[in-house]
Amino acid sequence: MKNMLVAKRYAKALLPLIPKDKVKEFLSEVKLLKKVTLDDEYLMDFLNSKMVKTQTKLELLDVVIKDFSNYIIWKEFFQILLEKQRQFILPQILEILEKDVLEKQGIVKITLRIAKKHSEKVIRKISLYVENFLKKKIEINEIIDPNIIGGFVAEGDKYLIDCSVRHNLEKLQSVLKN
Amino acid sequence: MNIQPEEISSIIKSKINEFKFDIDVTESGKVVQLGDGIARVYGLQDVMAGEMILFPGNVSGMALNLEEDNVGCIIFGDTTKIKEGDIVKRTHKILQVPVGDELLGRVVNPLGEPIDGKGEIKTTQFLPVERKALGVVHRQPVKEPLQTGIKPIDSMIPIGRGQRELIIGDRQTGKTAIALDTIINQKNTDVFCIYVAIGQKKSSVAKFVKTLEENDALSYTIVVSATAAESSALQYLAPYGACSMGEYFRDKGQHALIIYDDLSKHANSYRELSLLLRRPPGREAYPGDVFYLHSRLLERASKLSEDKGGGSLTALPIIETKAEDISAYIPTNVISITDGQIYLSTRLFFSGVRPAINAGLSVSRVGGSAQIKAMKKVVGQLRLDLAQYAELEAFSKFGSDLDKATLQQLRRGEKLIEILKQGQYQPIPVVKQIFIIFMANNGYLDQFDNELIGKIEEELFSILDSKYKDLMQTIEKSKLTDQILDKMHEVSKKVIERFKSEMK
Repeated sequence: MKNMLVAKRYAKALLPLIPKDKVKEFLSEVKLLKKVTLDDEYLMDFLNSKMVKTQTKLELLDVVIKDFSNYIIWKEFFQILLEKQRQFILPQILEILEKDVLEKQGIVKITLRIAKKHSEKVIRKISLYVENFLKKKIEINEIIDPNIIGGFVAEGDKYLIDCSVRHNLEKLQSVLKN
Repeated sequence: MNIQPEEISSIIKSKINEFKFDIDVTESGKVVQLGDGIARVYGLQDVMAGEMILFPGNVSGMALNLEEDNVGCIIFGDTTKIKEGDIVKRTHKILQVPVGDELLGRVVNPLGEPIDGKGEIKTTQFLPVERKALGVVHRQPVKEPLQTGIKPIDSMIPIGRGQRELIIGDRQTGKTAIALDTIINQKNTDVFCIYVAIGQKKSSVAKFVKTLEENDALSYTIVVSATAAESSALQYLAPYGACSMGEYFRDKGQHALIIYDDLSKHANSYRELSLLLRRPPGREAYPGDVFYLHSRLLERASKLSEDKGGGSLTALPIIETKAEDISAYIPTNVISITDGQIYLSTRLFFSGVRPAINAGLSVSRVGGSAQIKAMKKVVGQLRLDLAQYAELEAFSKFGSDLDKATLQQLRRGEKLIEILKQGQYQPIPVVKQIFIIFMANNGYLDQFDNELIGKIEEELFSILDSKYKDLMQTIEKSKLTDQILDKMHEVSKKVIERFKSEMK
């Protein structure tokens, strides 16, 4: 919980530095970094290691970000992060950054739980429904969850839209019980 | 009654046909930490303090701590059904409890759910658990008496409807017995009773309910039970929920009596919750708002103005002291909130004075104005004589060395102490109380041994019941005129006549 608070502060500080014409690029850079930190567990181990010098860590990160269009911002950000020894909250910072940048663009990130893989047409229909409800554009992260039996559950940061068969069966159960 | 399986299946089929597949849209958060009946939830940015929230498995909770990045919640159900990462939903409702006449005669948990195995309680009305106490314009001073049926209380520490009178004393001094007798005494009156058991043994609650049943007192009583086996969250909630149940009667213009047994344990459960929610501890590790915890609860007891229906909610909070220390933190807090206290002494209890009320340390600040006129008249002398006896008691060891007047005062005091003794589950109507006090005040009992006082009292009550019902009604409704006093003297003489011969 404390980490989330600190991560929020870092993300909040970084947000105003993004050039207005490079927001999209920044977002894709955040996503790429998120993917790298998630996929490569050794990277985080390396960054958290006390045996490795800060300069070496920066050099490695430089390889990852050298082609970024917001290279200077990222470089200085990593420098501060490593100097303050806050590299362990990097995944949280990236998570919050992604959400905040999307929010700045009027997009909400939604986790969509579905019981089985659906066609693009169906997913688009669901997206439209959720967008209409939230009155915002959404970015979907699909998760297959057979537990919900059928239908879908859309989890946003603030809202939960439960249209699953499981939820309705539970409701029916309580109706019959009463 | 024969139930056809076809009927059941047709009902189920129709229910299924009527059921509409719906989309549930709620504001939600996620459980990030769970333990000791407390959950920390991420999200729920717009949740209100005190709002009811829903955990998976239909477990409800309440948002208590609204922090920068999370919400601290207390959980009212089985926490084993909840795990980290679970979705928590807002209900947009401040926690409510069912209220209504349907709850009378039932034993419920602090959420108003039945726990007596007598089936569902079908109420249509709900009230929030936390309600703000009514303002001064909606109240009026206490003016009607609430008779407890206990001689020392109704005479010297009278309680009025809408008053808050604390019952305080060590363990095993008869605090709950006073509460129980008071409930029993409300039989055939217009007062509904609510008994809130906080942190007690389940066996004690079961015994209490059984006693109520045996005395036909359960039909007008609601028992709210949050025993020691319940979570501290439920124990914390119990008095507030029960108070709402009492307020329902008050707001309808009826009268209710609520007994909080006991607020020491309630403070302990709140301390537990607060420490788990990481609120800063203060004196004796209680949180800073432990005074407000009880003041906001007891302020809800009130006598409403006539415009509001004139209903009342009388509160009898109980506090258990340790080693008779009434200057501890919680006792002093509650003493300062309430309109008086009934102090029960261990020394008196073990010396055979039961109820073990210490008249010197007990006081009723507002009840006097609600006392019936006849009682007011006889009690003045009683107080004086008892105070004098208390002063002279130390000299009683000198026996025959004392002068006649002192000996007489000691003798009178002994008789007064004797008449104030009373058995359990035997509440006495106020007029009978007036009569026996009158007899003691006027020296009718001075000549008898202490062992005979009980018998004389019994004789008096049976004579009153059989021959003087009209006189009893007159005493209850009017002032003690010379004519009535003469009649009372006449009855008193008649009663002691029989015993005089026994003495010889």
